[in-house]
Amino acid sequence: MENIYEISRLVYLSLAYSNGNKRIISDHQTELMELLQRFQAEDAFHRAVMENIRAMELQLLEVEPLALRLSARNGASFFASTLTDYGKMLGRTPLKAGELLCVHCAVATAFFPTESDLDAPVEDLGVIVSGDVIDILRVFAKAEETMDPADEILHPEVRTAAQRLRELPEENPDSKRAVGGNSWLELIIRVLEHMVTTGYLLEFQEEAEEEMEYRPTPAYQSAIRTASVYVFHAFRELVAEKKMTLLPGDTLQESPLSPPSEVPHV
Amino acid sequence: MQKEQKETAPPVSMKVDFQESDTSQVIRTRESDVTRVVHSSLIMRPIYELEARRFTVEDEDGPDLRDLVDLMWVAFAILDSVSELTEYHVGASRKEVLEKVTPAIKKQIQSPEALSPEALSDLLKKVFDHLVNRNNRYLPFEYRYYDGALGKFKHRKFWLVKAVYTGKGQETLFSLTDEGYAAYFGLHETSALDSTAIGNLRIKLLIERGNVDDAIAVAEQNNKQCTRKAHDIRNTRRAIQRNIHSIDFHRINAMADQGAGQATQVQMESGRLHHMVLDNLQVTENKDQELKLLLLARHLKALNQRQMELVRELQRLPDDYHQNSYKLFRKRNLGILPPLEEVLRRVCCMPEGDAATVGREFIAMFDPPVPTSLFDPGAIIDTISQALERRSTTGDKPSILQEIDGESIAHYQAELTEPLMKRGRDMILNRVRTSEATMMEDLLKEATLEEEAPLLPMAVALTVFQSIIDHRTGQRNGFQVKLASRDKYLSIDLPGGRRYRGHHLVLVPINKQSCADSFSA
Repeated sequence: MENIYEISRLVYLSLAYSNGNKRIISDHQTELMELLQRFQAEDAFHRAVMENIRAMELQLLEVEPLALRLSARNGASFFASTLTDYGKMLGRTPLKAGELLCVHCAVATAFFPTESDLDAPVEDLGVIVSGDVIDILRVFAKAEETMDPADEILHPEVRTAAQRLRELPEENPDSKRAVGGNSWLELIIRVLEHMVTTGYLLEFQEEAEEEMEYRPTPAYQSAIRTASVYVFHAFRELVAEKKMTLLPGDTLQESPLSPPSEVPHV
Repeated sequence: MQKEQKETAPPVSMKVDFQESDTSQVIRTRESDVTRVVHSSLIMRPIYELEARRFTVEDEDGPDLRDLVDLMWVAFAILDSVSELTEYHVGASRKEVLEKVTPAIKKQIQSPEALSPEALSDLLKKVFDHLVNRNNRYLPFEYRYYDGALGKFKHRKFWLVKAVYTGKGQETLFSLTDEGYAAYFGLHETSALDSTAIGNLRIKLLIERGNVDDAIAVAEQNNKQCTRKAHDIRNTRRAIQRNIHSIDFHRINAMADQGAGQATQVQMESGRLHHMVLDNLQVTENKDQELKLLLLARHLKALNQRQMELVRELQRLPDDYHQNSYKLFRKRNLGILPPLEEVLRRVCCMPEGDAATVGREFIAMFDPPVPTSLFDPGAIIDTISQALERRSTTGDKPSILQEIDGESIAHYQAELTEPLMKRGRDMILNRVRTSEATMMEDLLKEATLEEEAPLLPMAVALTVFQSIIDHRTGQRNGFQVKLASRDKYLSIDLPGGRRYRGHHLVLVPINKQSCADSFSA
């Protein structure tokens, strides 16, 4: 194990890179380049780095030209970002995470309407505004409600995430800042702002338009790819666990998706 | 879009009494019937609550508002106005609604002195705020009721007037919910409660009340429809850029073709409005009407401009499609990743508790790793000292601040310097050690003799003072200060215009004192 220094170094610098620390990256650019080349060329080195990443409860989202894009493997991880990072007010009720999840998925749906968009170059994906997300939420919050009773997968007593969403107003005219997350718009703005700060989205404002427009970055695309697979499987597990009836056109047997832990590396 | 949804939505009565479908096949019991009535009547509760609310602020000195204004009337008038204003667009702002209601309420007040216009508008605002549940952050009204069939308490949540997001302008728009329509139109003397009937009712109301004001309103609303169309075009353009597969080229072409058709349609509408105004002009000829006609003309002109713009935009759509059409030939690899719509659908179906758990995991996996600060005292001290030195923590090159034209801050210079105090202390100690007891005045007199140090007496006096107030300093110096006589005072002139006034003090060496104490003990 003579490579310990290099392995740890690559993981450390990739952590800094994923977190958006430009100073560290620009200071060690040449070193990173060498490490990355070794990562892609040497099989033993590659394996060792992956081991290291696993040991630190991280996961590899994507091998990017500058460094590895990493994120926490699960919620209990040391590097996991928590609800508190979305603002103190949002963190107060533990169930808020469900609403944030809905909003995150709706934002992703607005950016990537079809599954092939998750692989398309981000430059081709265009922009979204907060209104697009609201439109999607409107459709899905209602879709669950008007589902055919025969397809009912849950006991009617159980409140669903969509129901929580339906009981929030779309907009709260009294608060112009998205502090409490007590309306759709506040939640959406909070999520979008958070993703701008984490470098997942870029925001633009055209002169004629009063609305903020958002564009995705490759980092966002690779992060949502892994996370959406996770959510998809999480639902599968819930179904199996709770013996819920499946959604129409859904079978447990065939699993075309790779499990979340094995993200194919490029 | 909103309107379409409303028309295709299932009849309101079914939604309101959703239990009907369940219970009709089963046995109808008293429990189920009563529950249904209770469930439906909850809709009226926010309106009845108005009476109980007692608008206390105005009640302080003025007459009881309930004698002057019928609060229930106000509430229903607001619901009516919202329904009227939302006939052609997605929502009505609070201001619009209140403006529309005010004249009708004014008529209720018998004498103008009874209620000032400010108080009236205040009242209307309060009623409106109550109907939108502003006090509770615009969340739905929530009432508990007993479900007889199930034999337990349940909650019903609903809005009467709900804030809708439009993304346009600064003002929030409000529209009636299905419950709101049921609350208002349910009390009309009509049997059919389905939404198409309600829609017809609303249109009929509007036509029956038609006048020039409404013509202007319709013109404005047409303008708003243009805005909506423009929004539609913008969305389509975004969709083309984002996901060209989801757009049918024929639809784009049809839209462009429709553009011309729609333009003529709106033009016809404007012509009809024009006609309407002309008719009105023939009936009444006063200044007011003329002004309104001018206003209408202005709206029509703006409308025409918007139309031209719209047609141009529409015709550009096929070009956009062609520009982005290269994406159509890209290889698509399906089946590796789940479509996000499917993911979102699943999320919406999750029970709330599980959704929160999944959400927390999602956030952890999705967001970039967070640098967790490890406890490091050295780093903290470093940060603090950096802050103290006013060095920016981000810039890594520490630079010396140079202030041109800056004056250095004047620091306070103590007049009683360290050597001076030491000299004073030494002087006292010398005297105290050599004699049994030293009079304070003798010490001061001796100190005044020192020509080159005019502040020496002060140093001496201060050392003595320190020994009095701080017992330990006195002990360290080796003397104790005692009062010679209680009633006599002295005053000595010191150099520099100073004067010492006070008791006769005696300095007694402490070790001798303690020896004496121990002997006596």
